[in-house]
Amino acid sequence: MKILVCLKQTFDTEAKITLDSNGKIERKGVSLIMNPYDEFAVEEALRIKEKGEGEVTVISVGGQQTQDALRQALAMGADKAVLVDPGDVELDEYSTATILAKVISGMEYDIILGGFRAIDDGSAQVAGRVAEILNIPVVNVVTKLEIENGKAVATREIEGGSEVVEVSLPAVITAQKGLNEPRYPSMKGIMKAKKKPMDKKSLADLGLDESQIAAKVKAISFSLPEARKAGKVIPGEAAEAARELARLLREEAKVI
Amino acid sequence: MPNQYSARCKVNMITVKVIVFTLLVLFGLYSFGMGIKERYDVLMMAKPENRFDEPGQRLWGALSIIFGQKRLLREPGAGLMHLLIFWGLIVFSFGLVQFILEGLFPGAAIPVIGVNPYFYLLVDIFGVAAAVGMLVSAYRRYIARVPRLGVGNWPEEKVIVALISAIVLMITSYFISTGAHAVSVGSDRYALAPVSGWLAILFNDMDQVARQGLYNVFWWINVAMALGLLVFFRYSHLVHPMAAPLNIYFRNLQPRGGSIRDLDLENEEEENFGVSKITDYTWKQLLDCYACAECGRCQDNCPAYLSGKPLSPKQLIATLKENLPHKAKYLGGLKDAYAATENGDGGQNDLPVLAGNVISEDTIWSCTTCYACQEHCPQLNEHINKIIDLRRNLVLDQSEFPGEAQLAFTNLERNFNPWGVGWSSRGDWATEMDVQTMDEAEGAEYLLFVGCAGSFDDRIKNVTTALVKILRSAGISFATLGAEEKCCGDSARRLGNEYLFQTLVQENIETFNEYGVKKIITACPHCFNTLKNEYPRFGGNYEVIHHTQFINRLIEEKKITLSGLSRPLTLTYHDSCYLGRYNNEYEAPRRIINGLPGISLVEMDRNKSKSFCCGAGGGRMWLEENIGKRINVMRTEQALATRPDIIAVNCPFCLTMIEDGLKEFDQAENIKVKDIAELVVGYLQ
Repeated sequence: MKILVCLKQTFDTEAKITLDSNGKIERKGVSLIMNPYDEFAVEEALRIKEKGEGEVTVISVGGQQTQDALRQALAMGADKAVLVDPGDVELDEYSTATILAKVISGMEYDIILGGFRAIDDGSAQVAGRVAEILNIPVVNVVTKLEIENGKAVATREIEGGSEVVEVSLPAVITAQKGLNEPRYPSMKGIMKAKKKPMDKKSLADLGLDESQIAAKVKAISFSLPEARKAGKVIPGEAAEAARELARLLREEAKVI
Repeated sequence: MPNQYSARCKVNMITVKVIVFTLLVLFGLYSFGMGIKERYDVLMMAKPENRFDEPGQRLWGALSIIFGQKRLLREPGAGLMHLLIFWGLIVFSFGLVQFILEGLFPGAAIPVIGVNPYFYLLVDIFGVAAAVGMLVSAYRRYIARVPRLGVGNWPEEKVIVALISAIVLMITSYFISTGAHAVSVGSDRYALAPVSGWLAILFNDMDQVARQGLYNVFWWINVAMALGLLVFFRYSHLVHPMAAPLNIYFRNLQPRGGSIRDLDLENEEEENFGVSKITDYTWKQLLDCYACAECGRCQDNCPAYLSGKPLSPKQLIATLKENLPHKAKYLGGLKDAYAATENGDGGQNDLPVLAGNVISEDTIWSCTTCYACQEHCPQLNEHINKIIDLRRNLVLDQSEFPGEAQLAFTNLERNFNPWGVGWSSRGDWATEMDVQTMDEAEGAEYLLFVGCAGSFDDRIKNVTTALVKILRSAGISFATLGAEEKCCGDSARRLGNEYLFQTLVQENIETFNEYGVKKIITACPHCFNTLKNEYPRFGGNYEVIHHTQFINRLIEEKKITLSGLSRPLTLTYHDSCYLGRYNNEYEAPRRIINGLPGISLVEMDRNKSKSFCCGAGGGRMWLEENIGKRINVMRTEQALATRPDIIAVNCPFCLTMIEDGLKEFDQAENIKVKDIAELVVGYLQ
């Protein structure tokens, strides 16, 4: 079974977001991690592989530092990695999906996995778009997955409950939290990962030029949330303090 | 000529006796030699380790530990028993040599001492002492049934019963035989010997032939027991008397935390990280198993065991011993599982994986690395590095460990602190205090290594700010690393993640060296121990000082003066494992406390080297405690028994654990847990 996993490198969840002098998100000095939802996808791919025979290839679009995220997937147990470095161009979901679909169309695959969204821009579009371009089905927000006889049975979250769907393979499946608990790479895994193949490609290698992947959506500006104001402690006896609290909520905060 | 005939007959008898004796001795020595060789072969199946350095220091230390018996006498009862057996048998054995020699060659005597009545006085006294010691050991085992000895069922105990009986019989037969002999030779050399002399009087009226018979029979019984012991040691697992002195000679001379084995993570040939099979341990780690007498002192002081966790340090060693790849089948119910070891490869391929299999994961994760077991082990066994080697196998090799540990690892990898708070906010505690960082304060004398707790935990930040106030008041030139500081790596290492530990160490050393750091102050004993004792192995050599030591120095040098008097307060002081047992610093914090006006120090029962862990060491701070009683609650209860107003600590983890413990007793409002720095800052002028 050929399993592909699309993954993205994102900021660490605890990273302090700041803007640079041009009003863009400052990327310097930020810890980068594998998008946690993609980590669920990698783990699920490995579990499918471990149940039977299979090969897991992880794919990402990004700069050279993205290799760290791919190496982590290799250390967890993936077999091969493909990195497409698009160079210094701005990408939107359309661009990324086009590049991914182009790489994937040159590969064999039975199932394609990915996180249902990335924790940074949170657009939740790329996996769906890839499926659309490849003309295969997509099942989103999956919390349980079983593969048998060329079919996938997936449990997915819906508002107020869950739904079990069946889909014939190949298909794109996106992972939601709860699908599994990703493993921690063993030392052996880390050692082996150093020797596993990492196929680096440029747009030209894929036969794409910048015009074909030009972003359709462009970010105009970024702004940080307002700093939270310090809390206020109301001193005094409970009854008195409560009266003061009510007054402040009504007169200052104007919420009651 | 009957006389000539009887004389020749006697000569022949003696010749036969000498021949039979010689054959027995050869068999005894052969067995003993084979016993040593077989165990040597087992140890040689293990990994190498250099414990051959500093022979002088090793020898002198070993002699003083062995002959002084000081470590044993920390417990007066059991210690005295061992003292009696140890010294009893040593001195008695001189008498034994003389006795056997004389039995072979009538009239033979060791020069000088062999004819001295005082020699026989000593032999008697020490012989009795050894016998009494052995009987006390039997009493402790089978009548008092001291729990920590873990007396087993008959198949296990018969070897021990045999040993005790053999030694007691050896000594008794000596006395009976010498008593009978004394009358025959008419010697007054037993005049001072209480037992032999008394028996001589008793046998005085006995028939000459019967007396001679008594002498001969018990001489042979004695010889049989003495030589039998040599054979016994080949086949029994009770080799403590031979292995323990070696174990003490080959003891760890590194700092206490430093006995954790170096792991070469760059070695691509390495197949196992940590210990998978028993032969992945070093020969010294396995020698510990032979040396162990299963006295149970470790277990009596182990917070994991005492709180009902599945770990007993004694049982751990015993289990490993049972799983040694024996080449011979021994008595005593030892497993035959390694019959395969008879062939070719020594059966190493058939040896089981230890972690999670022979030794349960719960056992392995129970250890707080508090060092109480090693502190109290009379023969300096090293339990903790064995457990850490198993954790390394679980983490680095099997990737099987508690989910909480994985979270801590991931947090350390990404944000360099176990809490996982964004690393860029590490220095934020200092903004209001305007503390300079190393890149702002060029040439600061001391680096204040704040540590993760002091940087991120709101309660512990108060300790950090207290320390800053003290340092400022004394006019000390210091700076921090701000957001550039990373976790020292202690928790990662103790949880078995050596890879993560070494990464953090290298990154910190790089930063230290970039700023030319020479001296480091830290308020965390874990940072203190790691920076001081473990960084040098990775090329980071600094003068590292714990804040209690530094504050004590400031007081002694009169750089700060403390005064002020509120109401008199009772305080009890909790020794952290990593400042106390690991680094032997018990006095500095006490000197500070004793100099505080109005404070009176009341010690807990378990204090100083007997202190009881708070439960957070060994990375347990980050793991759930689901089995048995909570260790922090037990320690808090011990503190409450002193009826304190304040519980003083020197460690951020202890502070957290004991504050939590107080909530369990509804005492969080009445009793304050304070770090020494927080205490001192209140009296600062």
